[in-house]
Amino acid sequence: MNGYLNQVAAIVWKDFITELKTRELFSSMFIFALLVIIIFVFSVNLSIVGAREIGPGVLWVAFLFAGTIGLNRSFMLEKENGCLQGLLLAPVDRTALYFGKLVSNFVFLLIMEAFILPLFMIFFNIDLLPHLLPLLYVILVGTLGFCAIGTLLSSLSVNLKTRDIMLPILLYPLMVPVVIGSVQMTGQVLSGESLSGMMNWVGLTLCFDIIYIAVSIMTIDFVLEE
Amino acid sequence: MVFCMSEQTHPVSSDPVVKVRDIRKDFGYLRAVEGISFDLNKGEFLTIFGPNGAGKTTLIKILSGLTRPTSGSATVAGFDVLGGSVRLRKEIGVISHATCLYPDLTALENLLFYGKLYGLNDLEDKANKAINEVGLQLRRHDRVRTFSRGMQQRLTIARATLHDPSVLFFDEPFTGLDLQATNVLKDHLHELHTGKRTLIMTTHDMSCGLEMCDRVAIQNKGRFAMLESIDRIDRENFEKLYTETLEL
Amino acid sequence: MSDENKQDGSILIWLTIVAFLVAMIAIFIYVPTEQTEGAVQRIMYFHIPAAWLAFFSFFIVFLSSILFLWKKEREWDIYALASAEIGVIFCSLVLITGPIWARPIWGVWWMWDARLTSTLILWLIYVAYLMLRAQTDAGSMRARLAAVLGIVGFLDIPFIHFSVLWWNSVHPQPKMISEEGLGKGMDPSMVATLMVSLGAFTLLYFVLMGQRIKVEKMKDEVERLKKDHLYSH
Repeated sequence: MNGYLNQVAAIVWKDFITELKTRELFSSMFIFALLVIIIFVFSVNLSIVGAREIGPGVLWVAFLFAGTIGLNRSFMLEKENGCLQGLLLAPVDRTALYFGKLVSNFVFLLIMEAFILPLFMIFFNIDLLPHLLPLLYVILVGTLGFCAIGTLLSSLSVNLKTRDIMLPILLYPLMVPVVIGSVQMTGQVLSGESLSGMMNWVGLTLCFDIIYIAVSIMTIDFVLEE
Repeated sequence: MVFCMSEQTHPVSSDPVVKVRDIRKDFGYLRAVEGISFDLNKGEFLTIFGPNGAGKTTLIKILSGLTRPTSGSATVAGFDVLGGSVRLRKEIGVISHATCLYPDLTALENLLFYGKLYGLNDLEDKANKAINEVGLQLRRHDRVRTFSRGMQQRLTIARATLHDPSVLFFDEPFTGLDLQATNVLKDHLHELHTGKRTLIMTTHDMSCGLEMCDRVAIQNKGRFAMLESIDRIDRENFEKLYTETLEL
Repeated sequence: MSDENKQDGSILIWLTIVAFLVAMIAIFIYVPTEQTEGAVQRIMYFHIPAAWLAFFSFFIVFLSSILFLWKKEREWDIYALASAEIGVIFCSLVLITGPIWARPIWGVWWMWDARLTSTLILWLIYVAYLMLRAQTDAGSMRARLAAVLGIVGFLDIPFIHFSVLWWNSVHPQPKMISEEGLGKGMDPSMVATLMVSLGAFTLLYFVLMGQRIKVEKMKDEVERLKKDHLYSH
């Protein structure tokens, strides 16, 4: 078990020092998310449509699009120089590879989101601070769901010639429940409701996270076999 | 058919290290490997020649546990390759034309990363020693991205041998190397061929391939068309033998 | 499944033709016109069976995918492919007949009604599944990746269903007259017609499956012969 955790940690460590040197992942995700938000602001008239109504959707679309860029980059890294083969030849359980990539994708996304939230607050003039705790929960659960299935699908699409475009095509329809859930919960949290008032959404997104992590553990062997 | 060695160039234990029995691999309708069987004793060096598409890489992938054979069985270092077991992977090292190095990590960081995956003790010492052995001590803290192809290949050897594997696979290791790098790689191959390690190499390069091996195989259309001890091969006329074998 | 189809192929085809003739007579002659919706309501006898077949096909994809990963036999991969293609066709039929039915009733082609929305997302998932298959070369890799997607996609269905349903309840929703409680409040003749139609469509599924599996196996055979020919020269 200790060895297993060390292997997961090694993969996360490797992704982090790569990122610290290049800063490619963070900068591309952050700027892209920012652009998505700005383009949305231009496409709706904020004086007619309430910021609170459109805001949560815009936020999650930005996270989703930027996250896709992150997933693509993250697995491109493994494909360059055939590193993936090196990982597969190492005495590492395939699920450790999955968890390693899941953790680093998850943390990178959270860091990007942490930088986007204050900007979102300013642009949409919504005070997030009173609702910070429930909002944090919604973001954690939503992002985890995205990363759980995103990591599986990006390790699947890394085998394709057209992986850049196939990842969103495969990922987005499957992400619909999490996106709807996260947007609904964010909207209700921002209008001051507590999480206990929307247990159906909390349950649905949690179930989604758990089921897709479980399915990934069961199928990752087949995905990573050459 | 099972080929057995009569002459041995190195002292061996009774059990073969690599034991392959009637391995087959289909890719849908395409048969990449068809009924290959052979034994390889400890310390032996087998070179496999063959045209593109003969299934050489697939054979290496099966033996290193990356691909499942459709049928047949094989054990490497006493472990079944079918199980894809973690213990098998600890015993083998693979060097192909893909370097498996992370371009944005330094030479040392790459070795440290792989060392952690293999769960090695005294990792720092081992990694530094391995870097010295392949003559990259001055570049230890440089990103791999800045390395030439030859230097990357040397670091790859350090990466693949860091965990001291007992069986080494070389899949077209000379591809894309210049003359100097080829010579360095040959030197390393000589060093690795000490009688302790069992080596299997696939290559197109006739002279490099024949230079070091104990046994020679020619693979064509998924089969071993020939498997002989090097002593029985006329090195001068091997090219002729090779073309004749393929035409059979 | 396929062995049976080979033997009873023609019987099954004739049975399907007869079933469809009966269904057509029932739909256009036997069953009375619905009072509030008029003649357009007859589209229900295509819409609901198509929806049923789409779900059934995707369920078969799911089962075949699991069995493929378990047994690693090409047979199951072929079943999954055939069923996914048929499922996408029937899913498309649902998405076409839905708006045609909706237009005179609701006055718009498309309402973000829970069932139609779920079907649209399902269609997207399985179109992506077919795209994935089209973009990988034949072989065990394609079969494995497709199987994983076949499993992941089907497990998403309950999540999609509930999320779309709850999302939809936020908006004012038109009452779907004929689909509310299948069979309840419907004239017995309508129920009977729907059942006949469901039966005919289900038979059609097996006919299509049999044919598609046969075609795929022929393709394999042709490729094998091609390769043999190539190698022998």
